[in-house]
Amino acid sequence: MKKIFLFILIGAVFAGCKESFLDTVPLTQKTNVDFYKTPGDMAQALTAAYVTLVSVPEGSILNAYPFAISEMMSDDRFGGGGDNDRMPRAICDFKIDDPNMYGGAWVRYYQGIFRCNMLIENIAKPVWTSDAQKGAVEGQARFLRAYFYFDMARMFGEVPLILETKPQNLPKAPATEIYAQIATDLKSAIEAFPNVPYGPALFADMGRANRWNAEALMARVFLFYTGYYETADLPLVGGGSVTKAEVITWLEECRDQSGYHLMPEFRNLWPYSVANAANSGKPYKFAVDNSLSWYGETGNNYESMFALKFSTFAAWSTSIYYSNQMDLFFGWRAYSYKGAMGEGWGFGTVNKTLWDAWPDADIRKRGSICKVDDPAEGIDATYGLGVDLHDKQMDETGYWQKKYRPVNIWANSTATPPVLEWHNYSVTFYNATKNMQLDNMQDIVLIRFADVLLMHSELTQTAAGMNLVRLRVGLAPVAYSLDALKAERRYELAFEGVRYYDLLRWAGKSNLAVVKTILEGKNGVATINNGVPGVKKGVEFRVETGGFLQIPNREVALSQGILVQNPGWETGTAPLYTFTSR
Amino acid sequence: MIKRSVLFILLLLAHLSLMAQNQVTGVINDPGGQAMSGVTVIVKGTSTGTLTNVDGKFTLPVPAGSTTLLFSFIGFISQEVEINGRSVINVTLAEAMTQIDEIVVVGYGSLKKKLVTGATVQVKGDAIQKLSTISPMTALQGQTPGLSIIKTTGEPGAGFKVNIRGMGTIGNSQPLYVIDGVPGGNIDYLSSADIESIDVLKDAASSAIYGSRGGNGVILVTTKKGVKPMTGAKANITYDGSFGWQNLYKKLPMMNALDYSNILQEARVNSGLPLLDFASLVPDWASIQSGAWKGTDWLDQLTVKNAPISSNAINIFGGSELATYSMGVSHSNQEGIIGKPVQSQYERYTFRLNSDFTIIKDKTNTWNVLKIGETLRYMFSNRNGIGTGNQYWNDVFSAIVTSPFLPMDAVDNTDLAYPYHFAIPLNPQESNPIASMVYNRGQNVNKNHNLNGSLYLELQPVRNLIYRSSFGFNMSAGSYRAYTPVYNLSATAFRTLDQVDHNMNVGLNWTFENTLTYNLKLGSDHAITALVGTSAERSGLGESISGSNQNSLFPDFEHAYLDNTKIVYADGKTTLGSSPWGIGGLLSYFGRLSYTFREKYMATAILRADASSNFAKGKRWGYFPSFSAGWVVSEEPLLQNLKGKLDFLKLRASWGQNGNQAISPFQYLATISFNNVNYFFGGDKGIVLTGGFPNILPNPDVTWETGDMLNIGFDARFLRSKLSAEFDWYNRTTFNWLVNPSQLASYGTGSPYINGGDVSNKGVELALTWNDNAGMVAYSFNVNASYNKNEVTRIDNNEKIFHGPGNVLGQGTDELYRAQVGFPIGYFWGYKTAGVFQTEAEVAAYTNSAGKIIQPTSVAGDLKFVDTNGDGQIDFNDKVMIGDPNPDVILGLNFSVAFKGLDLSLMSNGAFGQQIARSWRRWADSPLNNYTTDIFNRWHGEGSSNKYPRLTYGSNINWQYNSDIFIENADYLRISNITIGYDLKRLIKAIPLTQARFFVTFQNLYTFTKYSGMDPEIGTSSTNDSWAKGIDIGYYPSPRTFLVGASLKF
Repeated sequence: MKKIFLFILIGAVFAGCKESFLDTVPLTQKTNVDFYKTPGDMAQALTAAYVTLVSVPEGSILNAYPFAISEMMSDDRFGGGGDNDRMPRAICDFKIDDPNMYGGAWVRYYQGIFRCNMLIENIAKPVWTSDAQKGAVEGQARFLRAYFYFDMARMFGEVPLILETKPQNLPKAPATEIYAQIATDLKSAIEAFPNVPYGPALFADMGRANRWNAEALMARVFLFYTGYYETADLPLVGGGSVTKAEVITWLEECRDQSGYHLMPEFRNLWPYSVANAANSGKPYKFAVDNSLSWYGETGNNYESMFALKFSTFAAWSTSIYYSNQMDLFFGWRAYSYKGAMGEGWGFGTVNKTLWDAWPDADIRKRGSICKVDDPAEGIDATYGLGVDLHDKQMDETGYWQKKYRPVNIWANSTATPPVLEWHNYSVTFYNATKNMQLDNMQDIVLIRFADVLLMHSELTQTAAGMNLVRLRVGLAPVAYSLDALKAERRYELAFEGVRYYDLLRWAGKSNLAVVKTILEGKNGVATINNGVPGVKKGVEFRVETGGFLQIPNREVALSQGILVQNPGWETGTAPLYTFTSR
Repeated sequence: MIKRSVLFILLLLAHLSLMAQNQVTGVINDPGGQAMSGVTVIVKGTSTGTLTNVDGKFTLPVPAGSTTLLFSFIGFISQEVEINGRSVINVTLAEAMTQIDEIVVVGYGSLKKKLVTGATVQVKGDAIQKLSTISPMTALQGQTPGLSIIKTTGEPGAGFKVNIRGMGTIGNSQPLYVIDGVPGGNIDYLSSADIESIDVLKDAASSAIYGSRGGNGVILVTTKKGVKPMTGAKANITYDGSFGWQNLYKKLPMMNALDYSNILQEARVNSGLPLLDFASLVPDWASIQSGAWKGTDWLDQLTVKNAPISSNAINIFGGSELATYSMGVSHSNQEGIIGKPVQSQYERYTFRLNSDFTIIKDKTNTWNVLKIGETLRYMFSNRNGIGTGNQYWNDVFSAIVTSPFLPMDAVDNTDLAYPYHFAIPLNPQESNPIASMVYNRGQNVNKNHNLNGSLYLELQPVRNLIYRSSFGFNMSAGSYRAYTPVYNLSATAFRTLDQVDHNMNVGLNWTFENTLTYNLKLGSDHAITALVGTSAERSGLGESISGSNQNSLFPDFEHAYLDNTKIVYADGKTTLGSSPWGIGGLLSYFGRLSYTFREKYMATAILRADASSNFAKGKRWGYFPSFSAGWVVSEEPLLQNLKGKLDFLKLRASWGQNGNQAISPFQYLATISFNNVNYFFGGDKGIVLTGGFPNILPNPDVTWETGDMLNIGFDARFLRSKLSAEFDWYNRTTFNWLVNPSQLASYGTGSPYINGGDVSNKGVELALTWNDNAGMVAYSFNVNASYNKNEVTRIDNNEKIFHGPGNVLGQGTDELYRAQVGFPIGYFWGYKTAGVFQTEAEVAAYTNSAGKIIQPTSVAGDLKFVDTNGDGQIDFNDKVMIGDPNPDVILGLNFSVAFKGLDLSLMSNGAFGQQIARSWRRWADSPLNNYTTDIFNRWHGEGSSNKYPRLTYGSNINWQYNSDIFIENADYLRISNITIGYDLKRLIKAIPLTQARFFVTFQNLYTFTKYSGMDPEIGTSSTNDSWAKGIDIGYYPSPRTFLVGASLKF
């Protein structure tokens, strides 16, 4: 009897569940098994690749945007920032503030590369409605991968060349291999992209790469590679090369067929020009005096070819990068909401020597630099240049670039009833929430048509392109010379992220002492640190680094010796940024 | 009972056979003053004896020459009393704290404590309830060795960091709570009055029966069950209630306005800056200068005096032969001591109903063939709080750092911040911290409903076989609603549109368990108990929905519902979300085999197999074995003659394995995430395109974290059980630590969890209890201490480190804590210092072995950092361990005494050997932050200080580097509870109650510590990392509480 009970009950205890009870599926995430199957999936995957262009802030390291880094390394600007922002000044001085200070760019760009690799690997999977649709997606993926590797190669020199999504711990690839891949991707992109000129039909696609962007980027890559590495051609994967003649052909196609062109008024390219009509109550003197009116970013700025895009959706904890962080970096500290020039973190103060060198007759000078005590600016005397209450501004010079910075207008607030107030133009224009850290959403134009003209001049050694650029700002034509071209690039493209790399490529890797002289010329320039006048010191460009930066030490450690630190940046060798002990 | 009757008859016979001699009479009482009937009284050395009657009285003829009486009663400590010629001897017997016949709860069953072979400890509900704490966890502090309980903050309703025998993982290191047999419960949902007992399973052999979730130890909570009343059908009714006042125990000494102004000027002079012109920058400077106004003390503004606290609980229990019930209702309310005028608050209602029914009895009426029962608990809580997070979300921190120059109130209603004072010209960005708290965190409520319980059926077809089937469930529902108004407090602190937030969630977990227990007795010597069982569990059956919008029709919290925000914004101001909870499942088989030989030798083996949905097919199953054995040495004939000196000694040894499966699911898949990867093509900044990307590399191999523990211990009682001792030594290792280590960034996406590390915890635990009485006074003293050493022994990546974040102690500061091979989890990492340079000559003389000046740019008054690697420069390579937040020793000291109706108890708990990292200002980027008065110890001239460096007005490595100047030893011993009670029934017999005890309680009365902060017990890191603790950037301290109350029994 007992045994029967026992068996029945044991049966009851163990009856029941099968392991399928445990099968669960994620309900708010797709998986790699069911993704990359439709053109819609591919569009989402592509969007996620684009976002890595801007999602650089990593943890507490907010400053490692390649664009911002190149600016602060250049001879035109200092590190600046607040007393506590060590990193911009460390960048400016070519010193190390944190063993992973460039980690943000390294991490995000490899994420971008991974997402492009994923797209390229899966490009044949979906049923595409047309070859053009597939070509546009593949072209963008290849363009982006080339863009990421080009930025990486300019910043770090040689980096691991990852072209597959499977995890690989690879050593650095030689520069020739990296540039061959970049050139090959760009060439494929040019071929894959449909040949459609920019116009109103493409306004909604602003920010997407297209054929013309690929052609312009190819020229930029060609110039950098052949200049810095001192060769004639740009290699391709599997042999062959891109020649200068090909590049010129692409540039001319871009110049003549892309639909992009120079806009008539240089200063209307930049948002400070909005502060004229929009704020009738308290206009920005410079904008009014010069009758400026911003072209805006709705699409009819035919000079903006490839730009980083921002939006109203930024949030601190998750996605500050949806707003334009460079504008925030480059605004001056404190003195908030008192005029058209808005508040930021005070990075990248402008080297006075640039102002001094720049002819006054060039309208681009005052159109690019705000000299705070210049009567033409109309800035309130309470701005307090050099006063330490200016929120601990370091490397203060009194000169601020104004292409990329917060811009305010005097306009109705969103309160009920509205009251007039200073706020970023995006509050009025885009319904953004007023917040000086998150409401900048100006496009960062990475490729501007003026550069296409200037690159064409440089490659062809003809003055036609240059002179178009000069004509637009009312300057007389000049004959082509490399010096003239260099000056033209410096003024036209000032503060647009190209200067430092121009210096490197014009010198070439065997001649970097020239760059050293130029950059260390920043030492000795008068600057004010947190109210204490002094001179800039500490910039130390070391030729042995090749002008490249430190690879995040974390990555070197994680690679188990496979990834080798760049020359001059090994632990113990790398110079440390130390505080000026006051 | 039979034994006692036989004894009585024997005694009676003995009595009759003796001549009447000296007559001794007396009354025997228990410590509560109740008369005890049935106490055995024996004349020592004879067979003469008697039992006390119902009034506790005895009369005993004592043969001539006898000198001593012996009093004994089960559950009480036997007592010998010298007669000394007296004819009246009254005695109070003390309860034996450690009872061998006590029943303790183990997983899926209970056991005589004497037979337990693992390391478990039981705390009775009465002991918990006596302390009158709102959370039972507070009452457990200092009561059990090996159990570390630290408040995350002192805010009402805040949680606890509970670690049994150290931290085994940086993931979820909390123990498993099993409430009335249902795993996965939450003890916060219980009132102290609901608890019958809490059993803590500390060693792996004990917790192995819970397999995959026993890795961090198990806490078994048993709620009160009904009992058949002793007489009649009267139910037992108890009431326990108290109310009281809470106050800040200790305040940080902030600098007043005048001192602050002087310190600011000193910092400016040191930095070569002109003096500040306060007259133009600070309102009412004249009265600050004259000393007429001391400035605003923001901590005072924030502090509530006499914050009320109350709790009330009624329990009713009773039953009949075939049915018993127990029900309880409670209400408690606690307001915060910090957060005026918003006030953090926690209010909780609980209801409990447990009942058991016998359906069928067997023919002989000796056992229940079929029994059913249920437990049911409902809890509703209402909680609101202030910011207690990082430096950007911490109202205590804001109050500490805000300048005393800023007045609290607006002068008149033209102030932009009316009724508050707008920022002052000296610091136009600094806002009134009280106003900021009121606006941003002041108007919200968190409501939680929880319904949980179980139904069970017990079938015992034959005497030795019990089949039990139980279904447990846990339903929860919650909502959060908040309103943020429009405000304008400073140049940067303003809000132009108000906001309404509203979230709701509802969910369910269930557990279905079936067990079969077979008890076998072979002769009188061998007893075997076998248990087999299965369990199936589902969790995460639930969903959440949340929304927020701006521009409400009604500018107040009362109307803060999304219906009142009519405009739907396309640009991110309107948000909406809903998501399922992560469904999970667990499927288990388990068995236990116990063997005892004459209750002298015991052995138990356990095996549990668990399969979890968190892992891929093929990696789901985990097997967790354990073995334990015990030997009651004192039962050996050789030791029998030691009785009275050594009354009981049991040696125990156990080894077992258990697991931890607490990771996010789907680590074995490459999931596509759509979070924060939007992009914005075209000209409209308000149009979003959603992106998607594989957010992790899949790890199909991910599986259990395995804990492995060896435990050796003994339980002993000496000197007629007056002294009891429990000792344990353990060696606990966590293998295959579930971690998410850094991987190469060039892999291009996130790393999954891997089984990639080991953690070791080794320690000893000792509990000593002395129970005795001196005449009518019964007293007991308990000390329990545990020592634990935590060390990470393996991390599977090349760095061997898990990094903590930067920006913890202040903006721009480096990583402060980390987990690293060779170090304890969460240790503080930074620079060592060796005092302050007094002169420039000392700077020049500070060189490494090669003669290189180590700090060439330093000046007198700067910190001397230790060049730990001797390379002649100070950089991150010099950073070392500068502190450890994990205590070496935790200690509890408890004392209680009872005399007639009076009882007094004193509880204390402490921790030793740990450090706290603290910073009450943001040094570098905020030179205008206020200081605490310990800044008077700064260097300001040769010989003035060797502790703190000179002040500067801005960034300086002196204050910017995380160094040992921010680390303090935080040893403490806290008098956590003193309770004095008196049972009025003793005085006034006419009271129609069986007990009418009134008491006063002091909680957190005094803390012995050298720590300079408000509270040395800091379970938080102010970051998101649950494995970090001991970081004080403005900690919400525990209150000092005074309570009066009553506990009545009807």
